[in-house]
Amino acid sequence: MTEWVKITIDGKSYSAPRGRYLLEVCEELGIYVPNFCYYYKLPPQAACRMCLVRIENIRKLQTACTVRVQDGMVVTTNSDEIIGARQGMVDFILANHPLDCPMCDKGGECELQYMSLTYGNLFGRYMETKEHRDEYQLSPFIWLDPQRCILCYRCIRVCDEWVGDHALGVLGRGAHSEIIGNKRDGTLECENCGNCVEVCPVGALTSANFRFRARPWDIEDTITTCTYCADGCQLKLSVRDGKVVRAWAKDMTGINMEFLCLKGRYGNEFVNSPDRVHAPLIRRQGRLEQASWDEAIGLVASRLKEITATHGAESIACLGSPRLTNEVLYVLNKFARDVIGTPWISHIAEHDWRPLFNMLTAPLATQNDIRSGKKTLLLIGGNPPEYNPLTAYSLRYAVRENGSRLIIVNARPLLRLPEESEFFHIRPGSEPALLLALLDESQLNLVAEITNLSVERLGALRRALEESEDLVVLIGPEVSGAALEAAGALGARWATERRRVRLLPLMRFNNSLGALDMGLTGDLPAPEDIGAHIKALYLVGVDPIRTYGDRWREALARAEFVVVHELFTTETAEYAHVVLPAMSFAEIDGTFTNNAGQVQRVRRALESGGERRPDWVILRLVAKGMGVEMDVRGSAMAMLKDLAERVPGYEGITYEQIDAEGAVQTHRALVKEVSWNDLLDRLNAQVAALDRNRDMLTEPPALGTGLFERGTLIEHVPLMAQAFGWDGSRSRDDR
Amino acid sequence: MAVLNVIKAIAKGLALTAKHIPQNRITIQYPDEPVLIERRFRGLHILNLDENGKEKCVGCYLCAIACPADAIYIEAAEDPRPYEERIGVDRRYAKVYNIDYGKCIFCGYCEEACPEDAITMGPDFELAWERREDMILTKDQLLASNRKISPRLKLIP
Ligand code: SF4
Ligand code: SF4
Ligand code: SF4
Ligand code: SF4
Ligand code: SF4
Ligand code: FES
Repeated sequence: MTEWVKITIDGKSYSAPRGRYLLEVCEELGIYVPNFCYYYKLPPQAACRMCLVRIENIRKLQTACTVRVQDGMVVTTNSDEIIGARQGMVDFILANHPLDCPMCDKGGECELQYMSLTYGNLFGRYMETKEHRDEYQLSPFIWLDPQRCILCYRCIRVCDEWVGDHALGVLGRGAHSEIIGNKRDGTLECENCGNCVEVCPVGALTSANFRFRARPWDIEDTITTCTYCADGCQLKLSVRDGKVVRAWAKDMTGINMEFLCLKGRYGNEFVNSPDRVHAPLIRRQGRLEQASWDEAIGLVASRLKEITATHGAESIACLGSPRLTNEVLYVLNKFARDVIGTPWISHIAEHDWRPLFNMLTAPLATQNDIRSGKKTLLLIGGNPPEYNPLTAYSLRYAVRENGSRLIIVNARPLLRLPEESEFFHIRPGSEPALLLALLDESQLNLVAEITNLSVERLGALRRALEESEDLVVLIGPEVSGAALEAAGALGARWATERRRVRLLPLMRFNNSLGALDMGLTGDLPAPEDIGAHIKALYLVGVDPIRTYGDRWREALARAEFVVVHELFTTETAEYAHVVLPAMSFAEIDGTFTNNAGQVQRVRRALESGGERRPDWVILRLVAKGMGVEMDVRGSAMAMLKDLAERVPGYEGITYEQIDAEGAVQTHRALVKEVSWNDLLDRLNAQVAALDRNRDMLTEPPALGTGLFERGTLIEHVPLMAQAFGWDGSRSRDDR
Repeated sequence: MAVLNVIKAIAKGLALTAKHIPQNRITIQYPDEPVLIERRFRGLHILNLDENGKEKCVGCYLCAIACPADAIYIEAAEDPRPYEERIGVDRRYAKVYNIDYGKCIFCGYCEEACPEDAITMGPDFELAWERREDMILTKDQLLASNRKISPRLKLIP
């Protein structure tokens, strides 16, 4: 329980929670105390001394960012003495600081500019010459200008606490201190998330993609949702002159607070790429040639009708991308099922998550669920720092701030998760056996043999769950089939009146769950089916060759007709008969559903050039060409309304609600009655088939396994291509 | 009587004309003769160079934000070469610097905003173009090194 104490600030009395930092209390009361090194939810540093206040009965001025509130404290935050002290501090910070803001990338949004203007002297009082140090590149993404650094250590603390990379340090002492990277030559080898740049109050750390490209006053920010992983960070896309110039968080309101990962921060400039398809393309004499929309739509509609007439509607397969908005996927599903009339409607996925949702017995866990309150967090498989960076951030936060218990079950040790976590090292591929141990205590001996964990360790794991009051289970893509159903059933097994259980599937794509919810749940055609009973493919934003490999190359070549909606001429597009230019996530409105089932908005940040159209408009036009008027309304907002009426779990979700709440969680129907015998039979069969002799893996997955991976979108980001040496030719090492 | 009045009026007018004939002419015979321009006249901008011919503009965008007509368009870039080799005085310079004279109102705010004395208002007043596109002058056209002051103007010393 918080204990409230009486304090007096500037002659007025207030009550404040005992033990809170004075600076935070002042801030909440609306009394501004200038500060540099203080940062929300970072350990205090007391490096800048900007926050000096007078506390009665203490001889010297005190730093408000480190003093904890006590009963009867009498504080002065503004007096001649304090004004003088602040002026002295600004002078001191500026002692070696160049006074060339016009040259500096931070100018216009610099905390030091603000402090100097508000609390500094008009003229500096130091006579010494300034020490000059050159700017240099810490990594392909990050620059450091040591001269502008005010040594607030925010960057170091953020890297240690938020990112867990411990990649920055400080070299030297006193006035000669300098921030340096973790490599021998002082540069950085890290995940390049850029969070250090985001929190740097001055122009010391800057991002390579944004440097010099714009000033804060001539960009327009749009808050939207990240188009990479399923965690669904909120980001601000800054647009200058029709081009995306940066992405940043800088806003505590999103589910990601102020965190972004490498992809979310530096991966958005594919939108600007000159390689984007800008007009419809039709294959003529083997070559893709530019055509008019009427011609392209006419061709698609007539070929689809022909194929339906000769081979039946079931010979057409539609595939969507889990990166598309819910609205587009909803229309695509309708298009496939109602207009074409085929059951072959599915989406490209790295993993089949359907069993989990068919057997869901516990609600999905949001990032906030992970971060708030003390809990037990059980991570089975997966590699959040690489594939779900926000989840990794939330796990670190939970352990650090709340002392939550993190239990990691994995075939490899994972990097960048808290040292305090408990690690259960299992045999690769034995995750299903572990789930068996969680559901059925009588099988521990068998499970011990398969997982290479002792029966005692398995007992300890079960005990940890028994002791927990609030349990979140994070499920990685190593868990599949019946084991995934078993994971879904963990709620029914472990939830009691005293114990809440929630689940978080570590899905891969920004709208993986949306694609399932919108009904793209048919089976994926096998490559052999194509040319056999599947004659035509309608692909919306997918590149099966990239995702599933060369077997699809021949399959596509066998198809009679292939249509793709694409941003780029992918390898699959090279087999297409018609390529229709689509708009990217930055150019349309819509919603994404993250892995916790939270619906968040995607907002149009800029105009799309060329003749591109949103996918749903294209689908409607094709339907019209085929003589069917689709019952789809003309705006993304209206479509959400329709969708919210028809898709289970989305009832009543509107833009207003999302705008007000940031993220709205869908209501998933939970399975009430689990038929345990059937489930255990299936799970036992799966476990019996596991390979019990696989060698243990002791090496952690390398830094960048997921983060530095090449993909259809990210390979068109110039900075990424440059940093990772991707050339024009495509590699498919990132399946 | 009326006739007499008319003649009187004509004579008066002619006398005035005759009085002015020997006096100085003030109509300037532009373009045959140069126009005198005040030093503080605000005409076509000049982008200045330092004593070694390096561009002074660092691409800070301050003129662009000061401009009430939104006439200035800048793209800043980085030139990491040493001073001797690079384009500008600093490693940061304006790769693109355009002024749209279809918008500019010659207020001089840009000049006042510039922290580097890189942009000044020049004396050129001949602002006629045949096409709208031509009214956007690029950095090359604005740089002091590429500018010839029109022979049809003379600065008042
Ligand atoms: S860090 Fe801030 S104060 Fe320092 S030069 Fe840059 S803009 Fe100016
Ligand atoms: S980019 Fe991220 S990982 Fe690298 S030093 Fe900065 S905060 Fe740390
Ligand atoms: S680089 Fe920036 S964040 Fe890091 S210590 Fe210096 S001023 Fe602070
Ligand atoms: S963690 Fe995921 S959602 Fe967040 S920025 Fe990275 S890729 Fe995007
Ligand atoms: S003179 Fe005035 S209107 Fe013209 S460019 Fe400068 S600031 Fe803009
Ligand atoms: S904010 Fe308190 S010392 Fe920096």
